[in-house]
Amino acid sequence: MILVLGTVDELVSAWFMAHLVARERPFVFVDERQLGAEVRIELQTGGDDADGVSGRICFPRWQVALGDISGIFSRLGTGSATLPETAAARAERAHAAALLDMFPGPVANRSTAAWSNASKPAQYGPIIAAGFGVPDTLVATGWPRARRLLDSWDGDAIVKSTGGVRSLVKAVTPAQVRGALIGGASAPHQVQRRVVGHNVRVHLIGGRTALACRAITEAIDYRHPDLTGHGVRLEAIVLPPRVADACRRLARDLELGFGGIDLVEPPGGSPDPADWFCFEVNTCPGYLWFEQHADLRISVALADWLGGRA
Amino acid sequence: MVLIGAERCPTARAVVRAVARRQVIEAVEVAADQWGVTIRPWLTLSDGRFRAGWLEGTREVELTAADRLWVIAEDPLPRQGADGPEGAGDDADYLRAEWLAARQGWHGACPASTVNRRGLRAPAFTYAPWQLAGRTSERHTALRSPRLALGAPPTDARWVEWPASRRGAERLWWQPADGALHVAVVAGGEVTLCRWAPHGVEAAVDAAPALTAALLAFAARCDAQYLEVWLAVPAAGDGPATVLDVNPEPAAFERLTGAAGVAAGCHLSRFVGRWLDDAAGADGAIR
Repeated sequence: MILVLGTVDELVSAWFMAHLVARERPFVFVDERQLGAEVRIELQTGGDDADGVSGRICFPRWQVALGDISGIFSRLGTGSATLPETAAARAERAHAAALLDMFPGPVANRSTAAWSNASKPAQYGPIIAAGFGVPDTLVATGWPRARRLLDSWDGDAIVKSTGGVRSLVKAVTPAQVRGALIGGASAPHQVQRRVVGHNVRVHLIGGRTALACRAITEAIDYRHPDLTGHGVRLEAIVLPPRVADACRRLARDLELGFGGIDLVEPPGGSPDPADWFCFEVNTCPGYLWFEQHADLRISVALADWLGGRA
Repeated sequence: MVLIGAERCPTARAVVRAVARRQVIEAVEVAADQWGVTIRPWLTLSDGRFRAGWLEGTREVELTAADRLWVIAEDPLPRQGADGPEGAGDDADYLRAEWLAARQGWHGACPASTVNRRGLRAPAFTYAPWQLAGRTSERHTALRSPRLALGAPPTDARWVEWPASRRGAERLWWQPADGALHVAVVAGGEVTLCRWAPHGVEAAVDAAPALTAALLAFAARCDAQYLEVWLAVPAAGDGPATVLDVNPEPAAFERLTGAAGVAAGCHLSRFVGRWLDDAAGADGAIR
């Protein structure tokens, strides 16, 4: 059976479980708020049982052995629920994080692998190694170096967060960048050269299945069309084989079983990943919107992979 | 050569600086508590190539592939906001996360030849030490993981609690392994194995070739060029050594005394000498 970790009122967890119920796929759910209260995790490893991990998920009246779990889907830390801060709750959340790292079967995603999205620049090296382009970027305070870069970009720049917090991507003028970077800026700014083309979101599942859609919009940030006064339409597409392979390599390098890869397809398209840009890889993709609006069968692919059928 | 946080490990710092002096290489130091606070990293990416350095006031420093970098110790970043270092609320948390993201990105992007490159993809700096110790086992090698239990206290009296200073919030237990306590300094394709004597003088001992090979492979899996591994080493022929703790910082090195300290010092000196001498910057590649 599949182990689902999250909160019951978090949309993506609820959506995935509704899919599992509809398809009569066995699963067990642990609500993050119950860790340390109603639910405990026990793991054993090491010693003479080299490479082996055993353990169980303990509920008040029953238990699930780790050996009965085929795969784990985690949305831990993504909901808006207030989590208890008792020592027992903190300990069990740490045990859950360790379980994600130590479980021998498929996991979406392992705790340490999910961290790479906490720094967008930390992903740029693997993105380039996979064969994609990354827009020219500055992460800094301080104006002189930014001025030189902006001059070379003809001032066509956007600004976005450096870390994992989602921010509205905005076009900025050199004067705005200058204003932000001089005078002891309180935060580093990530300024990028604006690139043209269609946004493409790829969901890479289990290292193989690449489900992609194109966002048709005039908005700079297609994820927030309501904030920019533009509409957006998502349409499913089939990636060129070399672009799909580059996505697979990127997910493998980042050790992600499930990744949401944000690409920009060059105008007119291209089979060569070097002509495509990649902004980042979401390590806990909220895929619901894409599944609903582009009719991508992400839940099916996830359930097959985590259930051992892929 | 740039050392960050070297003041936390003064003996290692003295060795590294002495080697640099011999090779007439300038040593620049950044204190751990200033790194990311008053000395702030920058990075650029242009046509697929990274450049990186830091700003100290208005002075800009850039590190290139010809430079050598070892971030020996790094502090968590303080909360900073519009109201000062202890600025309030979500804004302060956001700003700290942004600065931390910049520093993590910098580690991955800096073109300098780097010992123990940090960042969000570096096993030695992302896994808890007990998790690293738990990932050592490969069947038929001279090294194995400790027997660990996570969760409620086991009722079997053989289990004891894992030291609180080497874990986070988790409840962690282990079964003490047979063998004498040793620390291995693993760097530059060599292992210096020292029998630990907390109230005496440590002795350098010969590591069996199989144990040396296993430790070198383990350090490579941790992506660490310098690694200290605490071990329970049984008598010869009595089975594999058990990994007890792992540290990519030269902390045990600071505490080694007697002949073991001398052996480890010579080892570190050779390692640093080769690293500084490596004009090609073998580890300067962007990852």
